[in-house]
Amino acid sequence: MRADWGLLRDSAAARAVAAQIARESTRPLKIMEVCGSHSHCIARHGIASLLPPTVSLVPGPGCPVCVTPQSEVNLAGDIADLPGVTLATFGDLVRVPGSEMSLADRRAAGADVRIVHSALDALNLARAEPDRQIVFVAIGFETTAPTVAAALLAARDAVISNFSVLALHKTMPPAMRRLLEIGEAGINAFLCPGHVSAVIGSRAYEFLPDEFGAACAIAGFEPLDVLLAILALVRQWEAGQPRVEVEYSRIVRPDGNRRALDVLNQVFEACDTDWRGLGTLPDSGLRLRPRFAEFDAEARHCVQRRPAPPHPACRCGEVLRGVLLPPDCGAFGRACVPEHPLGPCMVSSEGACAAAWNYQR
Amino acid sequence: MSRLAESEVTEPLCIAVPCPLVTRDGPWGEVVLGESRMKVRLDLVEEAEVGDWVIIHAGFAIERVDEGEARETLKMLAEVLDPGVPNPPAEEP
Repeated sequence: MRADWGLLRDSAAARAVAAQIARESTRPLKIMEVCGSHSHCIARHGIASLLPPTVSLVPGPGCPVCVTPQSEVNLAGDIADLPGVTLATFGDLVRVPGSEMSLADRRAAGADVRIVHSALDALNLARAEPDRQIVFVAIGFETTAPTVAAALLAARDAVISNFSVLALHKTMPPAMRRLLEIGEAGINAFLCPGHVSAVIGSRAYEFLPDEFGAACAIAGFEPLDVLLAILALVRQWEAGQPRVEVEYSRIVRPDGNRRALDVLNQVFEACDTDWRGLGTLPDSGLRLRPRFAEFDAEARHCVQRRPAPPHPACRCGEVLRGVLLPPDCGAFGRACVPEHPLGPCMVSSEGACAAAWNYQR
Repeated sequence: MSRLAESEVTEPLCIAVPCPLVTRDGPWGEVVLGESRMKVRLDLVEEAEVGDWVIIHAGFAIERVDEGEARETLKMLAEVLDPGVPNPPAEEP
């Protein structure tokens, strides 16, 4: 398998597939990618520049840190400020500005905020430091949620009582539905996420062609994976036959990873939740099931969510809805740069603004 | 704004990479990532065997790579490239 894998990164092959896309595309097609790693790949490899004028790519709400609303960033900060608490978080979240302070600012002011690579790392912290309350900030889509669920099952089995989770997970299909319902970005097709789809399966997107006529292709993360998926979308669009195609079939099955879904569903259940830029979406979040209530950081530490508007000059919400491209934002590269971000899309390396800043200047 | 230490500039949350599974012991396994070995949990891919490639995310293997399907993708690519040029011509016109 690995011997000819390099073909998926071959620049001549990329130009040849792009040329085929140009030959077959006759009418405008606007494709949204809803995975931060795809945005990163597209920007890094200059894929948009290979495409004909009929085909446009726009980033959407695919970066987990970016869709976390201001209220949830503040909530994590409120917990970090509590005495005796250690907040364990993925590194991407630490520099996202809160209403008053980022987690990095709070740490500088004395809060115990530590960066971990997984929920298991946070659980190990709880084992190593039994006198501290360890709170893991559980952000991420369906790719990440099963890993947190598995860590919680382990915590329950090992009776670890100083570990809890701030459950902020979000699920992707409801956001895609809302984007098409709003209709403001004029999206015709989705480049569907690869690793979210590994968990939830390709069938989870069938409502998009069926109800909205949107073309869908699930792509891997090599440049040729993305280009082949775009070719598939062009062919669906030209034929007037939108459906869900899987270009990433080496990983993605129609029903996803049933074991991962089973673990996820043992621990979490769907709930309404807020997204940056999209508002409250029904059944788009994951909360702990009642039998895991003892691990709920919000209840354990008596913190409450408070509505919080984003920074007045920050237009991340419009970027996440696909109605504003990063370079068209007045703050991009001026008031908002990676060293001094106004919003999360410039912080996370998967954010659309950071990708544009790093690769397209 | 406080600055992050260099060691804290982490990979993106969502990153997930294919790695070969080289050992398996119950729910734990070891994969090779670049030059190093990494311990991972296999709770979510119970059928994974030594020799499989698995996708690693946040300390867990989240799915096995299906080699037959991987060849299908390469075949699909070859079909698009067939009348074209998998390799650049030796001389530019």
